[in-house]
Amino acid sequence: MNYVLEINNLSKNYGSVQALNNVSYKVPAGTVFGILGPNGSGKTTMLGIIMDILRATSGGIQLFGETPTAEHRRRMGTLLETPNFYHYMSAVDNLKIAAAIKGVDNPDIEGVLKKVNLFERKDSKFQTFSLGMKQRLAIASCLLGNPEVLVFDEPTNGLDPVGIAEIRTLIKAVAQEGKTIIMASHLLDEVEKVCTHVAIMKKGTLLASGSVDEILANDDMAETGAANTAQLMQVLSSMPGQTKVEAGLNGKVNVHFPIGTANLAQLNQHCFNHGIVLDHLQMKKKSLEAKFLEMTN
Amino acid sequence: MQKLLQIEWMKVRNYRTFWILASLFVAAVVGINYISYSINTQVNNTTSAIGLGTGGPFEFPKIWNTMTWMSSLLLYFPGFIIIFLITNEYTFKTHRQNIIDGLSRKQFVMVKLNLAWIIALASTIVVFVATALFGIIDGSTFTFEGMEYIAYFFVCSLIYVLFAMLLALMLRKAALAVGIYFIYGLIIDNIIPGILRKYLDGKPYGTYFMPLDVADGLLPFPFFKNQIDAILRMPNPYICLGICVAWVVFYHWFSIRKFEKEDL
Repeated sequence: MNYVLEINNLSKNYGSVQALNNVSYKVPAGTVFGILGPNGSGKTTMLGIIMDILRATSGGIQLFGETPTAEHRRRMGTLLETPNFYHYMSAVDNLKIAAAIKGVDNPDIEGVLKKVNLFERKDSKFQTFSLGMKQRLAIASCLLGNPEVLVFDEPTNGLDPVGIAEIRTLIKAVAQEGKTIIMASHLLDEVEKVCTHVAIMKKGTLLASGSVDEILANDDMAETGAANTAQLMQVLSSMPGQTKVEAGLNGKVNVHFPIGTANLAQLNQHCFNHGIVLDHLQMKKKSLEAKFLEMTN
Repeated sequence: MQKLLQIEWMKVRNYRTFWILASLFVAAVVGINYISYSINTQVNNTTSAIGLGTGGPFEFPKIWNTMTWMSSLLLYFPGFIIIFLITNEYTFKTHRQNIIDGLSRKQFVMVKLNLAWIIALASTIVVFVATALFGIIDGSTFTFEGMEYIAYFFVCSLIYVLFAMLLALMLRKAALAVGIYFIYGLIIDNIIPGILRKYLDGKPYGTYFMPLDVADGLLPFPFFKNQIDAILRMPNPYICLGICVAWVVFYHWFSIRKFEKEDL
């Protein structure tokens, strides 16, 4: 498998604060890779090191399977933390500079501005833009030269709901072209909706990484209750199709099924056939949020 | 490097502050020299004793010394320009974005150093043209004799601009860099050699070794030359040049090292 990015034992200290602690993972080509973590978990620090604007304390990275150089960064479109442009220059002039640095000949500046709905304001100065417009200009800049890899740090930051939906649609469309997208976010919902792979970070350490289905597996769970809890657990364990039986809250018993296969009528019938009368039966969807909180707390 | 300079040109072209400061510098060079020129004319009209025999300070070849010295008082302007061009990048965080978009750290700092040389060269050209015009208007015959002062002025500008660049790289904020540059250049840079004067008497470089002061030492005070020389004991220009070159090398080394090593 080809990896766009490999991170090997990366650590970064700011004085006594350890922002990254021995983080390692790989981003396969062609994936939409989400880096998920609460504020201050080290997402931006890590992207900063990848982009050579921060120095790692130890460990290293590889881009496209090679030691990173400026040349590799030109093949990536990156929005890191905030939209950074020359305030006194127009959108078009700012994009001209970005294109010149990236070494893009004949950049399709009008095209990328249209993609982010900024074409009408192309000659306005950057300093007159709203936060959402600045963010969209930054995304337009990332698209210049049609790079193989896109890196977005909180891409929907500062956007209104319509803008958020537009950017997500854009990201999905870009992903369909076979490009690799690396996206840092503290919004679970965003990662769930857009990403194929995810790395979860907390306080500079990597908690888990892999495909979204694996990591944020959303199974069906039914909460059951009966007078005799021990017997209930035994009976449920014998039920075909279940994946896990565990003690829940307040003497309840939780039984898990693969996603979309839980059937409460069958469950009730099974218990009844084995001499158990349920006094509680409820379908519980374990939300992604609960999973995330469970992992990061 | 040509491509990188083109990118810098795109940044500068639309930057109004740059053009205002640059025009002010040109106007100020003409203005400050015109003021001293007219004072000199009036003095000569009333008492013909000063400047007798050796030719007036605004006649070739003496004018090269006079006008480069006068103009060197204005070298803070080119310094301000480089400070704004560099601190802008920090303010807009475009120093990060330029690296992210695909410049290497070395390219970023090297093109700024190139810019510093270009600004110093442009300032020198302004002064050269102004001096030639004043001299010709004054009516004496143009001569390249004494032209070494134009070369000294270039070195002096380079020192001022590179020192300003170092401050900008270290402080990152325009107001702070401008303030410290001004106070340092006007006061501290002169006070330290003054304090150390008694240990420095008899040294070949005299009191001229501080970052900016040594550059000033290349351009001696042009008026009342005989009397002044006895008091100030101007240093040997070649020794000054040597120290200047050492500073230039240091500024390059420090700027590159700083920008390559630190978190941006």
